[in-house]
Amino acid sequence: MNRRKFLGVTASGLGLLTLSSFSAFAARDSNTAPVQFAIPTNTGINGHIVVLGGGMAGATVAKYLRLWGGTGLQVTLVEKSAAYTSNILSNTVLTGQRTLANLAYHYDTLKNHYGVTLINKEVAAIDAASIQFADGTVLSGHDRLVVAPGVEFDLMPGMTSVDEYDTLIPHAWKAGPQTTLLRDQLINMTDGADVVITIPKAPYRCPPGPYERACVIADWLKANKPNSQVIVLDTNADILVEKDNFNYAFTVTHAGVIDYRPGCTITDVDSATRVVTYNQGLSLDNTVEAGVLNPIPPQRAPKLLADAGLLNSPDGRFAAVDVLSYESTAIPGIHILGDASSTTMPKAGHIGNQQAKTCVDAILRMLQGQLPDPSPVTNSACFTPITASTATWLAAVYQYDPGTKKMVIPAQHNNGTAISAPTASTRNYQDMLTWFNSLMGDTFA
Amino acid sequence: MSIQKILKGLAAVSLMLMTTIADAAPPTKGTITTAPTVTGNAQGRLLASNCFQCHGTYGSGGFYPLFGKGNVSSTLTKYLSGSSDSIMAAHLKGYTPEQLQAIADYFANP
Repeated sequence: MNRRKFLGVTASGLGLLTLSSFSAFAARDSNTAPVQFAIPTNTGINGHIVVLGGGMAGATVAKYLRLWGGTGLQVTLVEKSAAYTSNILSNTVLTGQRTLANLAYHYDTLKNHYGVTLINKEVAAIDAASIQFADGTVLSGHDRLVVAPGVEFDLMPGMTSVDEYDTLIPHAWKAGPQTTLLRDQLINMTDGADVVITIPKAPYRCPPGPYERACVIADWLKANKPNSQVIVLDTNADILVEKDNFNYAFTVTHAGVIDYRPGCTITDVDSATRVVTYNQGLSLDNTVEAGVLNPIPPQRAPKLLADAGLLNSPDGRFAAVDVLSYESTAIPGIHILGDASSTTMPKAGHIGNQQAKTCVDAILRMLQGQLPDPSPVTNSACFTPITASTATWLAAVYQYDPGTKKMVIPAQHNNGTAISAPTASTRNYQDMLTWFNSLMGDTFA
Repeated sequence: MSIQKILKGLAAVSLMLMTTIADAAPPTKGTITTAPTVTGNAQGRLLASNCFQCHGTYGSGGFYPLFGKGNVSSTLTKYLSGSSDSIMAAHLKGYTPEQLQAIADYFANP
């Protein structure tokens, strides 16, 4: 038995153990309802705020506008989908530990408890004064517009249509049907074929996410396709976050199952043959044929924002904002939150939630003729599964720096850098579930 | 009645309350289940809301309830002087002592 086979067999045994361990954890992660606080009637704040996008940042801003602003503040949430599917933990759908259905969050509590007005329509265009819907109707007369639309995905070189993501080579970087497709492709893949994941240059949504995905798929392969590997083509020069933990996972925990190749430039993706062509340093025109091809594409703010003239970041891909209020630096009266904005903070749900609260506080002050809080703080926590029963975490706190007008990790926090878990552990996995449920409760319930 | 019995009872009540977000419910590590009155104190509220993602809205649950607790300051001090391997200790490093005191003051009188 060679080393690879030995690892495969061992991991299969471990796979059984870890799946049952997961069940034990799953049993304890849905046992109480979030507390719902009353909406105050006496804040003296009046107005109408429209929120576009019901993801992590948008749902939080809608909830907290009412919770802190009170009944005098009318809040309208515009969201075309009936529910939000969490990207967080969606990699565990790929491994069969969760279903998409139990990552779905509905807007009932925002509507029924918080009194948010829901408009379930597609938006065609926005400007400072109005929202034009695809059905021809127009919404106007509001005081401010908050936009939290998430990201859109570029085509990879060689592609001609985004439909290829939906049918052949799912990116699954927005949880939904592509997640299911990728899961099905993994199940149907021939044992011995390889999974190829490509990672775009930063900034992209969820910095540890691609590395996490490589790990959990590798963990699943050991038990289900013991002759297969995950090949990671990273267009970044090195692992971007949690380098020690992911390097350990790639070279020890999942040794022989993950083949990590940094510093790649993808030159062609053939969605029919699943062949990727790439350069790596001086080595040009390398090819790899995937059994399952999962290209995570470069990302940008949606076209809706480009059309509105909001994408004024240096690279023109995201919306620059004043991080005291998240108001656009291009168009006053429009605030941009979450992944579509250009800031020094990661594009991720936990920090999107905190950006939303900062935005709410600023809007409430502005409605009362005051200036935003001059020293906001945001924080990012992110748990990352490494196997079916172990996880790591990454934490950072951002303080406003009046000199640069940016949010920066202060020097006392690990010399201005994020802090990661010492090791992957089962305790972290349990904490991940607590964190996830609490975060989703603070956002949607 | 022991704390465990109280929590068990609260969990049972909560199960009945669960409707829209069955999978979003935070696990109990001492979750309060009846919404207390918020005084509307906005002083320190935005800063303290950094804790809400992991400790529930207004500090109502999650890893550990903070709402109405007068001992948050001493707990934070214990974290800061203890092992730095926890995510809680990692977070605390990002705040100034004055900010941590303001957060503790907020939770004592939210």
